[in-house]
Amino acid sequence: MLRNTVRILLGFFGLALVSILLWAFVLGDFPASEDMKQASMARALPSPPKPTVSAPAPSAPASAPQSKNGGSATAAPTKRQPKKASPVRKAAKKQTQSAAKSASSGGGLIQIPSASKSADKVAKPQIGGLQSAMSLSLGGNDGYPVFPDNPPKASATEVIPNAFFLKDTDLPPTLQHVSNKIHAALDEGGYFDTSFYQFRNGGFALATKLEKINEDGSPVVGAERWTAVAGPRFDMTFTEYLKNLFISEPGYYRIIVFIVSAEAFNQSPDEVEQETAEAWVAAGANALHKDIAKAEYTDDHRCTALVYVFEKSKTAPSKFAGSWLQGRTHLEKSKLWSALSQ
Amino acid sequence: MKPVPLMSSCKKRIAAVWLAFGGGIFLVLLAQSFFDTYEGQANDAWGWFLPSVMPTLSLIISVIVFDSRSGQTEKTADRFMYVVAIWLSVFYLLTVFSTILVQPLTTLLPLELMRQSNLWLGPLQGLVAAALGAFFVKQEDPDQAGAIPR
Repeated sequence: MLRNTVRILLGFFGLALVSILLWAFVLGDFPASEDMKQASMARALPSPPKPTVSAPAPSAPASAPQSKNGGSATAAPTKRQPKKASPVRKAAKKQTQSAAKSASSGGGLIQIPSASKSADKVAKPQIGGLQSAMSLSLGGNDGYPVFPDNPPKASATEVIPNAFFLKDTDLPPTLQHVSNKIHAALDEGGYFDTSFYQFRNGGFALATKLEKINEDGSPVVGAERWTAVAGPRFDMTFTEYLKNLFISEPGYYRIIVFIVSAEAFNQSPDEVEQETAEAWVAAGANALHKDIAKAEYTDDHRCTALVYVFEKSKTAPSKFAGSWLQGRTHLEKSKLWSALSQ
Repeated sequence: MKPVPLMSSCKKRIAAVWLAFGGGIFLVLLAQSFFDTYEGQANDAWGWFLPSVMPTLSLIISVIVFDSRSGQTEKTADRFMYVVAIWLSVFYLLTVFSTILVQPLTTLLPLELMRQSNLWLGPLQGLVAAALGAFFVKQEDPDQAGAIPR
């Protein structure tokens, strides 16, 4: 009896030791455990002050008078701006709050910084370069959202011919007319949830919702088109399930930003993150600003489509992808080109 | 009264369960490695699988091989410990397998899900190891237990 008890106890101790070793081996080797430790440490630490420095809009200096067509792209830096930023994702919201805090303490612009996937990571100070190029500010007319003067590098670009907007009216068209035309084309292409921004001096930008596309640039058919951050997918067939289990096919996602402006602009060399681009549609206005809408669409104006393509593979978070298609192909495949040309 | 099972047959059943599930997971991972499902990061997937299954499987196989060589007299198993050990093993192995099989239905990346699964697989593995250890240690002579060999 005693012998058996001793054997049982020894067995338990041995297995407990094996279990502890397994724990150490299994958890210790994986970077996830390190990430978790760092995340918990970051949560425990008080968040450091985050200086927010915004590059002033080159086309709209603070001293410039407000124009009839749209006014200055940014407000005076000392003015406190309304805190209206509301990005879709929690991470963006969290970071927006911290950005708003810093804006109220010093800067005049409220920035929507790039939203990283891990919301718990401590936000880095955003100074110049990448962050300022991609940030959106609410410093326009009456807090109207402003698109970056130098938009982030697009995967593909297409300047839409002016004739598309000038041919169906005898009167000089207004920017509202152009906006309506783009909106009608977007409706025809099945797009919804678009949003407006002021762009430079008197122009506007219109951002579309993130959509999933095929490799040829055509939108994915069905509800999957709009499910970039979808919940669990229980609707797939068994064949699709097996394909997903064994074959790694990257998914492609696209956002189109139409920029209508009389001023020439160049793109920033920095790449935009998908989360940041996704926030464009949520952070913009639901309608064109009345002052911008009244402005005439002149021969100097250009409507430029900036196409942002993101690639999401099976093992890595989504990343900006250079497009293998021309901007026009994107617009043709999404049925926007034909709708605009009508 | 249910007959008390023989130790050797219980060990073989437990080994069969571990080999079946372990083999299944092994084959799925092998196929995924061939298809490059993990895009060059297959070593991370294997690094998750091997410590989850191999230590216990090695222990079970070692015991069976040792028993076959030692030529000891047949002993009976503790029924309760046997039931606990085999059902905990099945539950644990199903959990390991489901980590791979459920991934296409979720929005999590495969390696991300594997890392997260260590949170629940770690304690489960400890329980399974403890149950198996207790089962292997607790054995009695048939005459003492008054058992009816199966």
